[in-house]
Amino acid sequence: MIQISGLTFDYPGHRALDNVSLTVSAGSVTALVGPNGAGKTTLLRCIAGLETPISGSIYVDGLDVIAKPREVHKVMGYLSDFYGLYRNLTVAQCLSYAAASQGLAESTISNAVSDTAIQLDLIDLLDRASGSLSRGQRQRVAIGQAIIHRPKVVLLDEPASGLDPEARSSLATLFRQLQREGMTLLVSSHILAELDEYSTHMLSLREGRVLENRPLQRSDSDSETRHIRLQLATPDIRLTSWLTSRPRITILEIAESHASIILNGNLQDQNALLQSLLADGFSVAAFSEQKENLQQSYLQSISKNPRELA
Amino acid sequence: MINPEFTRNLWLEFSIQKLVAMPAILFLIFLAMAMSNTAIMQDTLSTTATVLFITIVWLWGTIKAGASVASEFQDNTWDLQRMSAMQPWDMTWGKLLGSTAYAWYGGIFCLLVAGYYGNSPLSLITLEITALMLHALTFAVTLNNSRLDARLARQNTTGIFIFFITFMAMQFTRSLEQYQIFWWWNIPIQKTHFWFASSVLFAGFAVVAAWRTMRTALQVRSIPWVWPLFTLVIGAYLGGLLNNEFREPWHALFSTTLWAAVIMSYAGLSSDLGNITAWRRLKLLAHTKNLRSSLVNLPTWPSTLILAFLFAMLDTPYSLSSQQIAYGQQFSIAPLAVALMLLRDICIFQFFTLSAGQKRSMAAALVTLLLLDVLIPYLLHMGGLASIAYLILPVAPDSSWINVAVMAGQATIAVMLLRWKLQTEDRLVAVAA
Repeated sequence: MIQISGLTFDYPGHRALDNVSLTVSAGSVTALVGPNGAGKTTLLRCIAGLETPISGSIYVDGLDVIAKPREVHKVMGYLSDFYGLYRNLTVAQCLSYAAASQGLAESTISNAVSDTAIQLDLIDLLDRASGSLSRGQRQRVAIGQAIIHRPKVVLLDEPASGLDPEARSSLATLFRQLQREGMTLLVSSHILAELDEYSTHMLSLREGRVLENRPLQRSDSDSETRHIRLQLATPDIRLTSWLTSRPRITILEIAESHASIILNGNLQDQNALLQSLLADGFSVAAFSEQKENLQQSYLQSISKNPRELA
Repeated sequence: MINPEFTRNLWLEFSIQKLVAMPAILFLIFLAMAMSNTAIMQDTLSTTATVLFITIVWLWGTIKAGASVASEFQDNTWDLQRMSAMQPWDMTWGKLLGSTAYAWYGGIFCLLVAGYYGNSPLSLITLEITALMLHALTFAVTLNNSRLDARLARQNTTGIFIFFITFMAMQFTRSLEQYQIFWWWNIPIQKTHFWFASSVLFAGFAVVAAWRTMRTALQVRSIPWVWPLFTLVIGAYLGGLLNNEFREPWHALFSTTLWAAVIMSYAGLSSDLGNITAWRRLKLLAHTKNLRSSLVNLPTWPSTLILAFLFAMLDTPYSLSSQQIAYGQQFSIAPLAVALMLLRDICIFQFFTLSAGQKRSMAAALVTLLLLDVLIPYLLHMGGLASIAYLILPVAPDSSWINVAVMAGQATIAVMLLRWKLQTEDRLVAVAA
């Protein structure tokens, strides 16, 4: 959905993006992570066609962003880090304006406004001036403006910044919903735990360069690869040899009291493994599937690519 | 479908209360003025209507036109606008007419009264077109300022500045009241027709400037042809007016166009500062031999610099014998020396603005140019060291060609300095990367 090649962006006296090349697959939710000054916002703004890079190319849904930014905006939504709303307009007017300015036909605007309001739980606020809304409500209106034209790609820069835990949770639900509708999301945030809830991919940046861009391992009932953590109540010297002798198991970490393994199998295979452990007399205290943790993945990514010293 | 930007502005500008308030207040003002002077009521009301139109549509409308850009920065909504799929022209007229719609609403009542009490339709249309010019120019300058520094755009003081410049220019034109006919390229034109045609010309260019600036703001870049075209038109416009001051019409045309190109180059420099990033992008595009991309990324001043050299060469044969007065002495201006001085100043300006701390660099560049072009020559003349002053400012008492040679030397040094600066900056980036 997004193809970037050789993207370099300079601010006077500072290189913000350095020969960045990456792809973002359609339907994914990519967590854009990195420390302050890594180039996350600049990257998003370049993809959105708001900044012109010094060199490189950006294609979104096959459209050249640098050559035709206005055409790309029809298939793209963007929520800026420092977004604003027209405070004297009502929520309905804000959404109507966003829909019309994205080129929606006049006959469809009313439906688009009500659909978006329902999706973002804004129905009761439609006649309120946006300047009178709470921070969380304003955030929902701003997201509504970004997605009202049902874009294929949505770029969100720190969308949960300043929101309370409840609002963050509903934001995560919304993003999962947008992904189910087929949208591709690229979300930048400092709060990795929040991204962890809905991201399918991780794009890690540092000093304007891509450290890592890959899918996150997310097990589900249909998955054939399961990351399992095993904890025994009492240490057992047999654990290593027992696990090593089992088929379809890759050991990541092992000790007499615990192990971390990859099981190539489904839920039934996982159940069979647990039953075998119990049947052979292991005092299993915990046997849980591990999701890939974004925070850990990011830190691993950093440690694999230590900061280059000048 | 109605322009969404225009609609949004109407939502913000109009309400039932405001619709009623404007005519009611205007009616009360007209009534008060009519009652204050019943003997010459017609003149009083006509003048009041004109003054009110200037206050409401010119002054207030101009402020509103600037605010249509400034408010986007104040409210952080500019990114939302830039992310829309609206084309630059739609965004331009939607903002320009939408933000000033309420001022125009009040202006219509003033025009009705002014027209009823004797103002000629042509003078009223000239008032309207001048208002449009003020709005569009303020809009373009505020939008351009936003590219230089968003804080400048937020302040929205451009409108007031432009209004007062125009107002002062109008006061100057009052000194021309005794002329009923203007001679333009030896063609007699009635004063009212001339003002009307001038306002149409400048309003047209102001609207085009607003549109072109919006294109740049929305990342829709285009080849900078309007800037040199405007320079040529200004040259021809002023040449026509000053034609009688020159011995030959061609001399008038070449000379005024040269000076128009010089002024527009300085204006282009200050409106499009340029930085090392822009230079680097241009260099990369030039390496790829992508002519169109290179042209669309060019700032405005190179086109007028080329025009300055072109018209300097055309003007040279006419200027060799021409003598003028300055500092109480006769001197001659060598057109080529003027063009070379422009090249020198551009290189000095770019030399400073290519540094990272752009604001301080710009101040340094402006101070340097002020010293070189104004203060030092003036002080040298005042101190009886005119012969040294001639080495800095391209005016010479005797030989124009010596002055051209001196200025060519200075321009060469400035070009070399700029080249060195570009190479140094490139090396710094290479080391950092």
